[in-house]
Amino acid sequence: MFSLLSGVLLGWSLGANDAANLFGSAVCSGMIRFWRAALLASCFVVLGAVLEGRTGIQTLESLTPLDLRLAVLSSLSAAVTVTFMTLLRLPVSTSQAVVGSIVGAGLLQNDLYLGGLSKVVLCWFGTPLGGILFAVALYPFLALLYNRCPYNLFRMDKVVRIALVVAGCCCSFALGANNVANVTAVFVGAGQLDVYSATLVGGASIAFGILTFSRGVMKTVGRDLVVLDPFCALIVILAESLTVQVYALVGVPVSTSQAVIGSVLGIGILKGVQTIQRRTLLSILLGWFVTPMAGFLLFFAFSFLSHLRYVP
Amino acid sequence: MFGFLFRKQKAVEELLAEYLHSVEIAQQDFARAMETYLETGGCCPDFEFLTAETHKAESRSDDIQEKMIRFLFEKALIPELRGDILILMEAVDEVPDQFDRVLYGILTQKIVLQDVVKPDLRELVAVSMETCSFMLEDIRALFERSEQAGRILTRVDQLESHGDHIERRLITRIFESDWDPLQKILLRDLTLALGDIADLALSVCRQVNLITVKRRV
Repeated sequence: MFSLLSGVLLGWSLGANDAANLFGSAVCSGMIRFWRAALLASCFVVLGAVLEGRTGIQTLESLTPLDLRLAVLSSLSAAVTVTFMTLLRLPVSTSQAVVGSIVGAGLLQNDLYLGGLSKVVLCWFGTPLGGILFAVALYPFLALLYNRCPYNLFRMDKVVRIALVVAGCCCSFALGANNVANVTAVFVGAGQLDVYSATLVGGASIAFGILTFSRGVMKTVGRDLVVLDPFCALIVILAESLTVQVYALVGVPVSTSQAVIGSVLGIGILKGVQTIQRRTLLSILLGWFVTPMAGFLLFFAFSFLSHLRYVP
Repeated sequence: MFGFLFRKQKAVEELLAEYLHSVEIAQQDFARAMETYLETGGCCPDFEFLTAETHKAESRSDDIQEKMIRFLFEKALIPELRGDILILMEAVDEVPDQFDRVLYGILTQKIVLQDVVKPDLRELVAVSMETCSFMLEDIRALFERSEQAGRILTRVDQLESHGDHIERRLITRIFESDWDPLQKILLRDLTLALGDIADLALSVCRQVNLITVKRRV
């Protein structure tokens, strides 16, 4: 059980960081209290992980065979990468850090399933694209419904608020389904956990992160989303939710932050305004290389350290 | 199921209706006070009573506004609607304040009217009251999301221009007369203050128009 700690740490930091993409706008604008949002998000994350997390776990597990030592090392190096990059305020995707360290383990053993890896990398590039496409598709359709709705302004306000909470729950479900693989897939590969226990432990550790440490991040990141009008914020969360859910079905863990950025970009394309700074886009591109590389290098560093023996 | 989300919202909705009703009462009292003043040509007990009534309605609308602001700052409604209501109320509040200022100006400065200015002043009051009625209609249409919201602006704009025209005509007439200069200045100030009502109503309608455009997705 002790060996699972690095996975739990990874799940905890994932939950703490990604909760902002689920309920940030709703909490920041005071539509829902933090604790209600955190509880809803936690429940739906666990539900998503248990019901639909299996496919992602199978994808990551198939990348390379792992024993317990390699599983712990890859999980630890991903956790350290995520923590370190967060401290440096660099955009970080847990999925990319995890895959980077698994690739390190695969190369160390000279046994890496390239077909699976290319599918994963392709999906990373497809994440912001998915966000853009869903936002562009959803906006005109929902705008038509919104404009034709016969309710008064207060009732419309209610509708948008309920929709934001429901979308947050859907997004939490998608996060659990998609990202649980990042947390515990390596332990399934190592035979430490069966798939069901892995989804349960992974989901619970993400939920633990949401409940214990997401308030600050939610308020910081959510404030940026609140700048959008409530209707656009709803589109962004729905598009993010659909993107992440699609990749959960495909079985590749992706970054919710990148899905959000794609969705905001989609809104900007539709409205003909610049919603995302070029710097943010460049930092995503940079993150695609830096994060997996950091996970990869850290895995080697930890692997080297684990072989050192004290000789008196 | 989602009842816990909307407790404050219901209160804001009720307070807004109450607030608009209170502004409407202030407008009716003001119109009656001005009618009395134009008939008598000076202050009388009826005018004083209606001035006090207008003041009460204005104070009541201030109290409701404060209550609403408190609810809004406790984060009822989504931020955009919250901001819109706050800005709108700030603009609307200027109108009953102006009613109060005009009536107390007449009462405290004991302005006596000459018969020659009465028809123009009556017309100016009528125009100002019409803009106020349109303003309230516009705000209600905005919250009902009616097609009317924003369209009223053109009509109010025309009325306000007409009000400006009457205002200029009246001031010219005042200064062409051989009345006491102090009397002239007091009447000019009264004319300008009455004209300001239409200006304030117009600025509220402009705000409503802006919110309508902004909320169209």
